Amino acid sequence: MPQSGETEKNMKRKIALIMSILMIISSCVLLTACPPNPDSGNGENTITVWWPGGSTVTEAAIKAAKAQYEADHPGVTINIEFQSTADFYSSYTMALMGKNFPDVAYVDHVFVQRLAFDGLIADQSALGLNSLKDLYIDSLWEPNLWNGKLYALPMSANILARTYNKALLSKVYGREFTEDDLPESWDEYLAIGAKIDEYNKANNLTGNEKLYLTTVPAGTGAESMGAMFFLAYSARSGGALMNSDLSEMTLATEANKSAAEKIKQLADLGYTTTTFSESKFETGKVAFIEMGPWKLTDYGRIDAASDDIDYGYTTVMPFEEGGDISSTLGLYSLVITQKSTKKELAADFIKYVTTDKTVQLAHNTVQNLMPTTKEAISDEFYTTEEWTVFVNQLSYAVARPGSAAWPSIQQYVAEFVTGLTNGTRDVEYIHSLQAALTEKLEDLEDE
Amino acid sequence: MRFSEPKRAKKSRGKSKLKNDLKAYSILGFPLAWWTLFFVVAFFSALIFSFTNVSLKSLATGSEIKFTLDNYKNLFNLDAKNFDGEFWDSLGVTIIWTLVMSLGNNIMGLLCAFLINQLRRGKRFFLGLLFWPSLVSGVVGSDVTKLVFGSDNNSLANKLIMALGHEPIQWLTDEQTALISLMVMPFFLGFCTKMLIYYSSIIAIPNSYKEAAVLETSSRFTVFLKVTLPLMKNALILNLLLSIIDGFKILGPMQLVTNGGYGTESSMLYIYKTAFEDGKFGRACAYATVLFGIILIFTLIQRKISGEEVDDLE
Repeated sequence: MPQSGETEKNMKRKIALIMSILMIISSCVLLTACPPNPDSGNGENTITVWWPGGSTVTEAAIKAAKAQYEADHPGVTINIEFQSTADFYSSYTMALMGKNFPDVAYVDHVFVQRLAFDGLIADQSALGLNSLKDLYIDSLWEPNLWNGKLYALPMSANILARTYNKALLSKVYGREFTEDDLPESWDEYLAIGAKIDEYNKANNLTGNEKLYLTTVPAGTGAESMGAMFFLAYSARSGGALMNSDLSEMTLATEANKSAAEKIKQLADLGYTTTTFSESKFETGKVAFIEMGPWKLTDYGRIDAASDDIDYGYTTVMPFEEGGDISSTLGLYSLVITQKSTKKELAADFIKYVTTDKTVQLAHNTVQNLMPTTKEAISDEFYTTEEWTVFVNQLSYAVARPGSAAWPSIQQYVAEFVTGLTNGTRDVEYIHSLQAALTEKLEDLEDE
Repeated sequence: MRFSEPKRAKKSRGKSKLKNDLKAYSILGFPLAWWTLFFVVAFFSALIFSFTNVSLKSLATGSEIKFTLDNYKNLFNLDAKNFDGEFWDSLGVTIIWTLVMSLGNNIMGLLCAFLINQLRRGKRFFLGLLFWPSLVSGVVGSDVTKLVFGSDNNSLANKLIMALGHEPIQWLTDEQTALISLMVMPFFLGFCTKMLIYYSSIIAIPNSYKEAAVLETSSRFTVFLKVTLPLMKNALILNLLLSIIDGFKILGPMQLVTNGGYGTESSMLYIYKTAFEDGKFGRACAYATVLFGIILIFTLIQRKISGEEVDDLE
């Protein structure tokens, strides 16, 4: 018996040894199964470009640009890799930590300064791209700079302008609502709100039938729009969320309080829905909305299908007659990864796609976005009545601050807008917001 | 010669056993390697990272990574410049969530299992019916939460409130109601599996125990409390332990519905944001280590309370 116990022990030891070897071998197999570094596999004249995927028309446009560039540059290969739009930025930053990073990526401009600050993207001034400045729409240049240097080239733009329902307003006015009736100051805007309120009372419109002056981007799921909305209100009131070098929060100012006061006023008077409701605007229950050009096709379709809807477009309203009409910019730019060993080729490719009129139009018109060069924006496509409004508005663009703290700023500001709209926050809460975000900013700077 | 036969048979049996064991282990080798790589290695890497200033920036630029205790100081030292109160706030949210879900899901699961066991007919039908909600994916559940607890007048919850003559409530955007609103859907989706475990535990109890108890008392509740429940101790502890672990690692509803806003940020979401939004991996690893420690303490307490009976279960 003791002998048999000894044998069993030996057997167990052997099995444990075999197990350990198996685990190590399998781990090695798993590790070696990881894809190789494309950088090492790519030829001298090959670059990898990350582009947002999901839309066949956009993909076709960039594939055509790639084919044209390769035809014009024999021996060069452009690998276009389409990535999910939902987590594009986090995938890019993850890729930057390893060896499978793209040479070029298409990113929201709000991340450009942060990537530049962290030293993750290349200074494009050093690659001679700042000489292209005059080709681009003026307001689209600044958001790509960090410490006076160029870190990205603008590819696609959009901006919020004012869309209104003439049919609803005509019903409220009892006559045709014309462009001359459009409010040009905050008081005139509120006066229209009062008229809508009277109309609601006179016609006993309550609940889902109630008409609203506007819909403030508040509530869950409207964080991005909420923060952009406050940023625009702040700019129109003469304020800003951060100072120009993005080192300090500048929320607790009189200008920003005035912006917050206006949002609260809309809510207190019942002139806005309590949560952002695009559907109410699209079903003829809301008179004004600040929306981007990506909705033009949908709005055109809705307009054609319903008698209750007749959309008009105009630039956003100043708070005082002749005042500031800033609106929040949406901009996607092309960056070159700092670690890329083919920066020259990458620079030449992004110069091509951002300045070539055919590429700019093919890529942006299909998405109802705007091109970024002066040449492309003057194309016939952008000369319709609706597009002219957005093109004009683009000259009054305010960019989101590209701070590392932007995700937190966006969330806190959006929650503040929601709080103002649903009555759980008052204007003075902006001081708490300032303190919390300052702490966040200091924390990030200490890293 | 006669006596050597059993020895040979024994040897042959031993060889065959070794062969079978090797077969089993070779099949297990791949999942074990997977587990080693993605859990054991990852766990120890995270533990080491938690004592460094490793960040997205340092990893991407290859800059120097320093060993530091700052990540833990920021958590435990109130006087630290970067003391992180937000982590403790998120832990508070997580504890509330864990308490409500652990108690709620288990009481609900136990009650349903007990009631179904009382039925004379249709036990399987009701088990299947009540298990059905667990087939709903978490993402769909979160979308349903948005629809049911939307802040406008059209949401189901507000329609009910208005039908009762009250003003609509900002369910998901008010700090007082947001967390509760998030809990409702997982509460109803989460008890199903526990109910099955309780049910299988109830039916495993020999009837003779209950029959003997009925002779002592006519109260069903007393029988349940004094006989059934103690005999279900293992199932109870297993379910509670799983609930607590699930509770501490909650992320989905917060991330999908409120993105952690309005007082609903859980520890796991906070760790995720620290790592992937702020790019502070070292700090996120320290938070994860603290959370792991808390779950470990709960697990040890559970094991202590359950004693050998859990070993039997294993």
